[in-house]
Amino acid sequence: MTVAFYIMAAIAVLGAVMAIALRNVVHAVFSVLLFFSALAGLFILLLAEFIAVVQVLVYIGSVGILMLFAIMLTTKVTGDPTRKLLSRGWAWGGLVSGALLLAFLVPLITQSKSESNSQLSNFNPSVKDLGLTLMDPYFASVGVIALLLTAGLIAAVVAASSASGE
Amino acid sequence: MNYPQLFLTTLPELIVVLGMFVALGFDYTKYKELDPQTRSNKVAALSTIALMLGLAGVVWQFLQVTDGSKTFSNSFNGQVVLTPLTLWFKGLIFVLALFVVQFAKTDVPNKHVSEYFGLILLSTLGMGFLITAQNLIMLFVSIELISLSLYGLTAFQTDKKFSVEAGIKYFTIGGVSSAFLLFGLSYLFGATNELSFEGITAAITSGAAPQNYVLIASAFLVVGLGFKIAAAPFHLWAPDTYQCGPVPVAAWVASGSKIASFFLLVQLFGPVLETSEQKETLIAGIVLVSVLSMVLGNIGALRQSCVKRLLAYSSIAHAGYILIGLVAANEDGSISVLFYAVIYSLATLGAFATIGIIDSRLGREAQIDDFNGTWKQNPGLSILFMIFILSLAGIPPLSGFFGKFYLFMAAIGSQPEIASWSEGFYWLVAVALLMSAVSLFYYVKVLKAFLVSADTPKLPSIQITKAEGAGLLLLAVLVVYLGIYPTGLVEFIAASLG
Repeated sequence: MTVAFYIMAAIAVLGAVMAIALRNVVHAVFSVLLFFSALAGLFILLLAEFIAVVQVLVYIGSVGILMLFAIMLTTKVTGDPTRKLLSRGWAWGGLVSGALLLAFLVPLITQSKSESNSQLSNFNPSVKDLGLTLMDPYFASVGVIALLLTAGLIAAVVAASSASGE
Repeated sequence: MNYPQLFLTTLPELIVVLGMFVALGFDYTKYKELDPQTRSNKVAALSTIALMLGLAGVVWQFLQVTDGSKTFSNSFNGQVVLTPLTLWFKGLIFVLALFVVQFAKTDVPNKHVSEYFGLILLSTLGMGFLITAQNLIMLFVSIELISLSLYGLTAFQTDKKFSVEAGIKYFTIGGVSSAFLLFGLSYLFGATNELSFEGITAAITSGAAPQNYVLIASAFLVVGLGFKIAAAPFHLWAPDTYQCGPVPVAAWVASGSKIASFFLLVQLFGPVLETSEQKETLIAGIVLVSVLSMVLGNIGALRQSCVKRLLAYSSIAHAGYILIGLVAANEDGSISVLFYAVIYSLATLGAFATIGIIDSRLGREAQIDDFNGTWKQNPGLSILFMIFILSLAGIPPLSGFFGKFYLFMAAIGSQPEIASWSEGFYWLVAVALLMSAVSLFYYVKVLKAFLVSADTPKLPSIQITKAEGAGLLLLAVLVVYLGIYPTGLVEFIAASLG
């Protein structure tokens, strides 16, 4: 399990870094897809099969294809090679994030090993249970998510229709 | 799940959603051929009616709850908790939204009229849900609803480069802050194995939750919510968003979303701070954020010439003042935080609305110089603006003074047994007082242009609509009233918190 986790995590990080670092947009999209697949693998390791399937269907299936379609319709695939990909002060940013990671997460991970995980014992990740939980006790939150999607839709309509100059 | 109960519990929201769709529907069909200003008036009228009906629903719920009848005892695992306090604040959000709609209708940025008001209504609902949420899932979902609507509203002037830039900045930084928040929430859930605030508080007080997890969770929550309340060093989005978005939207970001976020801070951190073993570390972190906000906000405001940007920096400083009440970590502190959030929002909404009216008549962003001699042509508007600005500056007898007074007293009173001035929070209050003195300089600079400058006025006599005039007047009356008679609200908050 642990070895599989590290392999998946390494692939995910690699995919994410390549998505930012590559100049060719098509390559970048495929790196993102690599990241998504590694993430799906990580979800399977966490026993969350449903989320893993959603990850594959929605992100790799639809979002990835959508991005490729969008690129297909554009003319310029490779970015401007004269522009720097790294912004000023990236080293400082990396240093601070690294320090935070070491200061916060590493002590926590080393300490947490001994603690027993009570949640895993009564963990029953079936799709039916997930659906029942969402639609019964958390129905109110799901309703607010519907409003959230409406807000996103309205904002997208405004952004898209004005951009076309109509 | 008791669906009839849920229907009654969310009745005000359902009414507002219905009103929003009616407005959208009419705007897309019947009003399609009309000119934007007429459409804006009609859609604003529909939104106003929806909000008023929603407000009536909230008032009805409030009366039911204060009567002690058991109609709303089911809180759906903390997702929608209706108590007198949450309902009062939800009602306040609806009232503020009514003001914002009145201020927004004279100057809709473009032809997307009903979308503009629709997003304002949706963000209102998000704030209402956030106030009644005592469950991590509902909390995050409603925060996202607020944020997403506000990103859309900030970038609404798609033909203006700066509006889009502000929207994208707000979106990117807000997205990162949401990630921090979600990470903190997931640690909180991992540590306590509970989603409702009640269960989390119980798990933390009983010591069942591992302390280091709670500390990490709180640190991430401070960062995530620090972005939302625009506290330094997480404030970088605020000046651009306030300056470049539509002015009513800036007013709404600075008032409504601030109230909701501070309410959440009190609800979430109040119990943790009063009981947790890691209290001192967490308080040290919040003190740092508070001091940074006060210093950076006030110093930053000194050199601004654009009034909206000045108000943005002043809002960063005010976030710092409010955090002092949180640092007190007792009930007095929570009361003072909620009280100050209310009066700050009233004053800042009024100030932004005045600037918005002037901006729209001027056709560009108002600089401080533009206000020279405004009192000659527009005495009424100048006096109202003076009330808002003096309340922000904390001049007695306006409500801003009492708000700051309660905050500082709560911080000092939280440690009654200390011996010398260097202990406790005396130094923090001293910094806050010093920074308040600094803030007087830029507030008075604006007022000087408005009221004293002998130059010939640049602004013509401004005609304001009845709705705008009534809104501004009502806000000013509230600011003055809460200054003369603050005890009513304070006692209500105290009684409902306890």
